[in-house]
Amino acid sequence: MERITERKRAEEARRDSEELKSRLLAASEDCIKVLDLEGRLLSMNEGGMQALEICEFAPFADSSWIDFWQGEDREAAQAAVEKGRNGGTGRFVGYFATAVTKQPRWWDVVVSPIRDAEGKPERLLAVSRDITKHKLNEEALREAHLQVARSEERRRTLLEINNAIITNLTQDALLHALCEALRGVVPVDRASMTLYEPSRDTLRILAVERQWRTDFFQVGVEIGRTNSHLGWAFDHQRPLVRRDLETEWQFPTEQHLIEEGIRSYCVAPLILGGKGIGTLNVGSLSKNRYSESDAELLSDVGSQVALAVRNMRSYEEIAALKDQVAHTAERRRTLLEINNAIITNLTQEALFRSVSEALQRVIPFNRAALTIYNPERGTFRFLALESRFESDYFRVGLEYDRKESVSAWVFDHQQAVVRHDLEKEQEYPNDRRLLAEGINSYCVVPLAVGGRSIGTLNLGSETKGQYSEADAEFLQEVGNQVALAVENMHSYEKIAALNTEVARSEERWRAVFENSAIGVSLQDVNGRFLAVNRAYEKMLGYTEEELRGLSFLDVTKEDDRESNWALATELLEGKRERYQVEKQYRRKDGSLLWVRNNVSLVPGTESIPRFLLVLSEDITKRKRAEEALREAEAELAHVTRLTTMGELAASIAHEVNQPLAAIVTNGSACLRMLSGESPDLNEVREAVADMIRDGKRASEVIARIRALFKKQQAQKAPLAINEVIEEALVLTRSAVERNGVLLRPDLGDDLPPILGDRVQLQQVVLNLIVNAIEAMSSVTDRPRQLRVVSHREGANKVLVAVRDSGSGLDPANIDRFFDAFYTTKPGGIGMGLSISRSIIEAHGGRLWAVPNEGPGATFQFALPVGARNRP
Amino acid sequence: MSEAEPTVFVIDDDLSVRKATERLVKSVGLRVMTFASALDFLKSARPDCPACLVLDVRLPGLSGLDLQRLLAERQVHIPIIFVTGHGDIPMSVQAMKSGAVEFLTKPFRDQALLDAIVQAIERDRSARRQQAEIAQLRERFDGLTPREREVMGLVANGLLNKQIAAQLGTTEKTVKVHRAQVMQKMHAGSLADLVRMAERLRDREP
Repeated sequence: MERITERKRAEEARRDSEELKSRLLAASEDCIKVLDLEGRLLSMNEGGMQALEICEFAPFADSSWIDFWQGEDREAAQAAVEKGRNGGTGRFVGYFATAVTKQPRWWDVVVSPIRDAEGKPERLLAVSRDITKHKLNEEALREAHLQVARSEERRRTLLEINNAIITNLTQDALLHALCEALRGVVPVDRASMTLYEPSRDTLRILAVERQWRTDFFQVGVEIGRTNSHLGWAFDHQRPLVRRDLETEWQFPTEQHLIEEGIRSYCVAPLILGGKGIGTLNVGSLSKNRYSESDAELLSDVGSQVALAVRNMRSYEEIAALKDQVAHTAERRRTLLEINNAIITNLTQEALFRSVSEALQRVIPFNRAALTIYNPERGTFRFLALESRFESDYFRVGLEYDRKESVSAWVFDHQQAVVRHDLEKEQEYPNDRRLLAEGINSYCVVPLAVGGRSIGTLNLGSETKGQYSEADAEFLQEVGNQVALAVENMHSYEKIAALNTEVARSEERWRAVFENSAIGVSLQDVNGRFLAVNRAYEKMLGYTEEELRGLSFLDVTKEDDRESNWALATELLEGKRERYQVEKQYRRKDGSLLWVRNNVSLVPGTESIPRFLLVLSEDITKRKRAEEALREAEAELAHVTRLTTMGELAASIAHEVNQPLAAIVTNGSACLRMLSGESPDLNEVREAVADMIRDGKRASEVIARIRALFKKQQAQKAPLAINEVIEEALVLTRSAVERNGVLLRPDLGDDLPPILGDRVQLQQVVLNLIVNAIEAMSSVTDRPRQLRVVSHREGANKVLVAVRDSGSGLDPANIDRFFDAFYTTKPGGIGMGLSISRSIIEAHGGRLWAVPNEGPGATFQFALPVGARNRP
Repeated sequence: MSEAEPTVFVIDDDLSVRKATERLVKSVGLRVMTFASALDFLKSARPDCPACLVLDVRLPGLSGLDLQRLLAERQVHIPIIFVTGHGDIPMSVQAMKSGAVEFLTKPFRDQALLDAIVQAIERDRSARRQQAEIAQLRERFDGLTPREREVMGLVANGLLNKQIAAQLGTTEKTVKVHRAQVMQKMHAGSLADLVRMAERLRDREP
């Protein structure tokens, strides 16, 4: 069993192996064949059959494998079979096309012996591997190498051409260098280049290799694109080769070539960026000198040349640009000059002349004018006009409405307007006027400053189309400059006017400053004097020179300095704009004067730092008057108190006298009652009680008086009564005059001083005078005479009398004149004489009234001479 | 001729002074009437008797001097003694001119006032007597016929009967009858008596 199984297994293994082999053979892409030793086909694998496009093997069985090969390959196959038969391995590469589709195939063929058990070659195994791809690659490679070699040369040529292109910057030189370079690879008897001229649809000869220039082939000659050999190449963007011109020519242009002896030629288009720009032409005096590959080469060269031509054009453009730059530079220079003119010419006419002169060099014109817009009137005014071109209408100062010309549009839009042909483009009245004066084109640009138009700059020419956009642009720049200048000029004029005004006002102020009655001083921020006027010098007794070394504090009274400096500081710190202060200055001689100062801070300018302006008014007199007034007021208050007190004193006296009288009377009554025989003691008791009560009452009153007198002590001092009278007369002068009273003072000489209170006595005199004046107010039939008399009365008295010529005294009331509240005057309160008497009596004197012998009355008082030295 | 008891009128606005004055006057047994103001005095019913007025110069309302003038105007001839707290010369002059008996300044001596009062009352008394006499004369005179009054006037002027008769256009005899009638009606004891009476009557004529 086991053996069977083993055999079976071996059998199966063998079968598996066979199957595997046949599958491998079938799967292999190689063509595997078994040959007999003679080289006849015994079998072939499936893969090989497929590769050879053979469906059945049978027709090929026993056929000679060697015969499949041809030529050299058959010999190689023969040799390989022989090698195999001899026990070696033969190998070769052979060509064999497939059976059906005849695809060319290269095979790598290996022939090796299949040995029998004895090791003798029994059969041959031929394995052919398809190496077609490889073979083709090799071919290609070889071809490529060849190509490389060729293109290497061409490349070199191109490089040379390139070099030529780079180094030769003229077309002639380029073409020459081109020919030199080309000559190594293509035949060149003739050479030229043309460029397409689109405007005329021609190809213009750009260059002809020098030695071959003929009457026809000259630089600049243009050959029509249509119906020309050059045009064909240009149009088709393909090279045109004529191997034999005599038989092949088609275009009339070729006749010229034939005439020149050209037998063959090649025309290559110059193509740049897919676009034809011209042609490159080479020709030969012999036939058949140009192949396709030459054409190709020339095409390449053409591309290069095209580039070069482009470069050359660029170069030309650059050169043109250079020219342009130069032009622009010229314009710049002009602008600069204009700028200069603007800076240096301060009158509009001069400026404009300079500007127009500078302009003339870069832009031609027959007219030039500047206009300024007047927005209030809606008009343009010729500010300046190149004087040569003034006409009856167009002249400086001409003012025309905005509707009259193109100026308004230019002004409003801040854009230039160019008219190329006024005849066709006239639009405004001024256009027609210009045209009438021979102007055919113009350019008007706005004068703009900071985005604001102020006017226009106008150029006109007799030539049509004189002004380009570039001109307009340039003019615009000029316009901006001029606008700036005009503005500046206006500013300058304003400044100049202001300067004049300032100078004038300066002068005026100087005069005011110097001649002012008010002291004026200018002080720096430290209070140091910068300048003072004469009044100030006079006030302080210092000269300006002396004051310059001082600050205002130095001349300020010591007590005022601190507060004064505080005020000035507030001013400087901006806490106040100005201040007014009444203070005292100390003069150079040490005396004091009162001033009222108005101090303000004058803000600084670029040229002058801020300073203090001080206006000082001498108010010493006013101050004195004020002080006097204050004293008088105090005294009046005092007097009022005193007079009130005096009035009270009168009534107080009565108040005291009454109880005293009652006491005395009661006392007397008591005595009488007691001395009687049967006195009524009750009555006596009552009387005594009344006496006690009245005594108390009296003492109370006295206490009150004392209290009043304590406070109201009159200030008595030796004084001249005449002074008192004179002061009173001064005070009543206006009343005297107003009432038409004739005042006749008669004051005695050498009166002894009296002891008294000046103010109180003055009050008395005043009162008497006023009464006298009033007493005469109704007098119309006689002079109103007022006599004020003072004289000595005896050894110890001075008498003062006030005599009027009034209505006199009513004897019935004579004793009442001096009563308080008694008055004969409608508006009076009846205090005057009462007070006066109180005052006089307080001075130990007497006041009374007497009727005059004539009309009127005399009120008089007598005062004791002031020899007493009581406190 | 029985006479009413004399009275002293005191006008002073000051109660103390008024009372004291009243007390003093009473102490000498005189009748006193006091008033605080002139108006009170004027309004009061005064006894018909010899009297005097002690008057303060300063009074509220009517002053002392005002009252003096007013009484004079009313033919009230009561003697006035002025007293004042602070008299002055013009005022006293005025008062005296207007017929004041005395002008005393407070405080016054008691005797001075009392003397003045006595004097004043005496003056008033005699004035009153004269007044009464004149009134009697007047009364008698009024009882005369117009012819008798004429005759009496002419007699008093010292004309003789014959002259009177010629002047009146009548006979001497008729004049004699009238004259006797006048003498009797006028209670004249003698021609001198009648002449005096006529003079007194004439004095009172305005």
